[in-house]
Amino acid sequence: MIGATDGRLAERQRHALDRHLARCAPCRAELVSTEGVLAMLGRLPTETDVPARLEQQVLRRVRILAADEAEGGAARRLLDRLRLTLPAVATGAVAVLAVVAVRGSISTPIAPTPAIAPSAAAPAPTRVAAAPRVAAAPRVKTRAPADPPPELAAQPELFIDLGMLRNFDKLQHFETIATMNPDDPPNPSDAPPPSNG
Amino acid sequence: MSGPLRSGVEGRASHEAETRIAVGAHGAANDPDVALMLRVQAGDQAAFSELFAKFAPRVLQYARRMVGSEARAEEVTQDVFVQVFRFRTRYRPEARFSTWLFTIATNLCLNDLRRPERQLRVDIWERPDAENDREGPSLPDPDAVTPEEGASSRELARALESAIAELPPKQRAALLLSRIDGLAYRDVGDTLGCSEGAVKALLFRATHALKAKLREHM
Amino acid sequence: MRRAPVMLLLGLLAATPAFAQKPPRGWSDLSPAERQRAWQNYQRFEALPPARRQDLEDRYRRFQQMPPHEQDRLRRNYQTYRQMPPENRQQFRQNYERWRNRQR
Repeated sequence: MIGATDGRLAERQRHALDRHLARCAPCRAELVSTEGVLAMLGRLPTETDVPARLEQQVLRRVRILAADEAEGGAARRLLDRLRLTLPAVATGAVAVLAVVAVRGSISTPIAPTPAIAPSAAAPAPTRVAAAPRVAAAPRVKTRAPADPPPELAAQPELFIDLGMLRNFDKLQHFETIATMNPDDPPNPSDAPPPSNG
Repeated sequence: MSGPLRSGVEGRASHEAETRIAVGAHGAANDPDVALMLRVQAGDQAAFSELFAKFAPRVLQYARRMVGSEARAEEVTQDVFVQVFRFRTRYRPEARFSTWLFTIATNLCLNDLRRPERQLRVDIWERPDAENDREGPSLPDPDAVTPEEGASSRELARALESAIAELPPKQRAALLLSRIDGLAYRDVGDTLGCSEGAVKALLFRATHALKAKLREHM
Repeated sequence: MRRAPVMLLLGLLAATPAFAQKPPRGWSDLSPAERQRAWQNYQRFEALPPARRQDLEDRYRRFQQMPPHEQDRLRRNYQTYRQMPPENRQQFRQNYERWRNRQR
């Protein structure tokens, strides 16, 4: 029935349905009620007002997410540099040991060179660790420009008060609306008529 | 009764199908939402704000009907868009952005409904007029001739919203995505993780249930 | 003749700070936080359909014509409205719809 209402039936099927409907009153009634429900559904609103607070919260969370991602990128680059630097540190340590071994006496026990901690021996990672250069987050249009667009410069208070203006009617009659009794009839004319006698 | 789509597709899904063809054939070129999402992937947060402004009203309305609570719907909507950003690299421009978006939204709504402490509250739809959450110029009911007919129409809308809220979650999702958000059956199936045939079955059961509940109004 | 004192009184009232309209502030008069808020709202405004933008501009003009104490009252009400818990806001909106129906 839904397919028939939407015009999705193949021509042969539509003809078959029409022939059936011509002699079946219950099915005709079923089609009419289906069409009625679908028509009602089509009239329901698809959208609703979004509170400004909701949008602000989403944008705030997204900005935090973007900043976290950017910091995560910097940490990964730090690790990458560390991986590149460690083999060089190890090679240098081996070279130092070799020099000590050659210069010292054979009988002299070679004091093992303390393991060089990468962070102590590798100035580059240390420098980066001390002042990591975080890649700037992608430039976004969240900061107010020094030179605003003409429409904004012409009446900035319109935009400061935009949220309030969206609810203008409610706010003008706020006290009346806020103190309405939920049990009051929607329309005074709906109240039951006074009884006679 | 249902059948395969004809080559000249009619009905509510025609626009969706044409857009799918455009996206598939030409990629992001013909779909502004896809283009916006590609900009988000490139790090353009202004594009994200644009997507939010465009789709948040629909997602919030969808979430309200799915989870039934104003507060929970706002939380779910927040989570939807944060996930859109967090998983932006997973979006493929061959797919419609709205399908991807509503897949995220549906999964979060269904997860929320599965929590044992959640109970769908149908009272969110007891408001006299769910039509105009936006405060703006009052629009008359185009079908109403008299104030009484207008009131009756609002009553019917309220009854319909309550009836939708009482549907099982997957039927509700299929109905909302297909009949209100206008997704094609295939896209609804992608969103719900089921076949097109299963979507039709869900829609049949949902419509049948609504007709039974609304019989006195029709 | 009787009108003269009344007109004089009205003129005096219009001149008092409570009733005199404040001149609108320019961009350079705003604090950094206000500029940021205005900028973010401007971006949202630009995303709205033209009819909705026009509607908001009309409301702004009406707001500008209000006396300062009335403007402050609306701003205070807005702060109260924003801080309402979701369920209270929902109830308020239901009341608003019922109130609006009564005005028709």
